[in-house]
Parts: sequence; structure tokens; C-alpha cells
Amino acid sequence: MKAWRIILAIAGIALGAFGVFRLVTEIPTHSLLILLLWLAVALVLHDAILAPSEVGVSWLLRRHVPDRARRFLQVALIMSGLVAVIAIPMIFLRGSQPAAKALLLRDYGANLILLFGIIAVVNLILYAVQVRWDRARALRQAQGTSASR
Amino acid sequence: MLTAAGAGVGVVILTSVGQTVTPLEPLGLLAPRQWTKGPQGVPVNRTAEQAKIMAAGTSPTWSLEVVGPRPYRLTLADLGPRAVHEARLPINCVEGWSVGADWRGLSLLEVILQAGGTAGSRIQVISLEEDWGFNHSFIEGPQLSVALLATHLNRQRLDLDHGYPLRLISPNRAGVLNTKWLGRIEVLS
Repeated sequence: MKAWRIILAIAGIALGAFGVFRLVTEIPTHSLLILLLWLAVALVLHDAILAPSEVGVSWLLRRHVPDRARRFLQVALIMSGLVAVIAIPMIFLRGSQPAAKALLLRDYGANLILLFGIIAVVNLILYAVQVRWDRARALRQAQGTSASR
Repeated sequence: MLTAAGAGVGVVILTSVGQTVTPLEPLGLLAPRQWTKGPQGVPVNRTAEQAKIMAAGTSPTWSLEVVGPRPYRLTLADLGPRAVHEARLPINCVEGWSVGADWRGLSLLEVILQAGGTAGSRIQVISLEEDWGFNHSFIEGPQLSVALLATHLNRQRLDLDHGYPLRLISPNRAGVLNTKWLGRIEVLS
């Protein structure tokens, strides 16, 4: 088992080194610098903006929203965030391309709001189902205890 | 957490898959491309304007030069009677979309045979477009046998953006290798 791990680790490191070697020998320095910049900005964007705001939001939710409702709210927020990340660049680029490309023609702003709405409604329905289910179970348990008494 | 991420990714897939799975296009709230909005129901990646062939492509004196052991030329008038071969083939763009379409045109193999080539020949097709790395492509073997020099797309005369007056269309090729605005075809071997 341990020998396999060492072999896999060496193979992985070798492949990684080969990748770096190809990058350095095949890609112009200018493009490499842009790549480094892109990676650095992605890191900063994630660690300085996305991660802290996520921690902040979840702290707020934990303080103000009861456990059961929070689960559904979190799911809705994560889904909305994912959809927004895809939609927002397209909102800005809409109409920027020649017509024949049939590219970026939709009203992505309206579509994003529509998707937010669908996500909210679906999660509200699931939450309502959960509440009813919990109540029914509590009722059954109460009846069960009174019957056995 | 994973359920939420999975559901979110599901929504993104559902709202963008329409640019490849054509029946789902109306669902594509977040799809960058809408194939139905392209000229003749097919999107274009490189437009005639980008390729700077507006004048050369629409010239009434256009002709296709066929170079081989028996070289000859095909004029615009020559195309019509020979454009009798039909095929349903997709444009598979390297930029991540594909759309099937009905094509009609000349059999490339017939054009090649007339110039003295064979089904085993290696062929180069060359666009009117200049100064672009993909203004030509090579075709041989099974692709050559079924390739069309298309004049019609979805029952209409090819749009200038789709490669009017004549373009290559053959299966199992990236869209960029279905060279548009053809001006010259060479039998290489």
C-alpha cells in the first residue's frame, strides 16, 4: 500500500514537472505572465472577497434564521450564486457580437431574475413540505404517547 | 452543501444545454448561443465581414479553380445543375456548440475525379479569404468520398456568412475545417 502511494506520488510529481516544462518551453513569456496574473487575481478574488463574504453571510444566517429554515435558505443562496456567476458576464456582453453568430442575444438580466424566482419558489415549497412533515410526525408521536398511557 | 452545489450546477446545465441539444433550446435561459437565430437556422462562427470576403464572395465573375492532372474551372452557372447531392450533417464548432442541418451541393469526389484525381487522393481546399491560418484545409479518405461542396443550406441558397458561393461540408470534421468561400481546390496526390 505504502509502496503504491510512493509510486503514484512520484508519477504525479513527474507529470506535473512535465507540464511546467511544457509551459515554460512552449508558451511565450508574455502569455505566461498573463497566466500568472490571472491565477493571482483568481486567488485574491476567492480569498479576499468570495470566502469572507460567504463566511459573513453564513454567520448572519446562523444568528438570525432557525436551523430548519436555514438549510433551505442556504441551498437557495448557493444555487442563486452559481447561476449569477454564469449570467452576470453575459448581461454585460449582451449584443456585443455580430448578429450572424446568434450569440449573446437573450435578455440575461430578466432570465437571471426569473431563475432566482424559480429557485426561491421551489425551495419555499420544499420548506413547506418539510414543515408539514415535521408537524405530522410530532402529532403521530404525541398520539402514540397518549395511546400507550 | 454538495446537494445545493449539485442542484445549482443542474440548473446551469439545464439552462445552457440547449445550444447543443437542439430540442432544448427554449430552455436555454443562460445559453450564450441560440441556433434558431443564426442565418438559415445555423449560427456562424466567422462572419463574411470578419473574413473580409464581402466583395470577392459576391462577385458575379466568381469561379472555382480545380487544380489537378486535368485542371478546369466551375463558374456560378455551372454549380446549379451539379448541386444535386444531399446530406444531413452537423456543424461542430470548436467553440463548443453544434447544430445539424440539411445540405445540398456538388459531390467533391465527382469534382476531383473530373480533374483526374481518385478516391485515394489527398485534397486541399482553399478559401477566398486571405491572411488567416484556417483559410484552407485538407481532406482525404472516407471524408472525401462523402464530402459536399455545398450550395444550399436548409433548402436555401447558402448565406454569405455560411460561405456563399461554395463551402465544404463533411462529417467528423471540426467546423473550422469545413472551409467556406471556396476559390480553389487542389489534387495533391
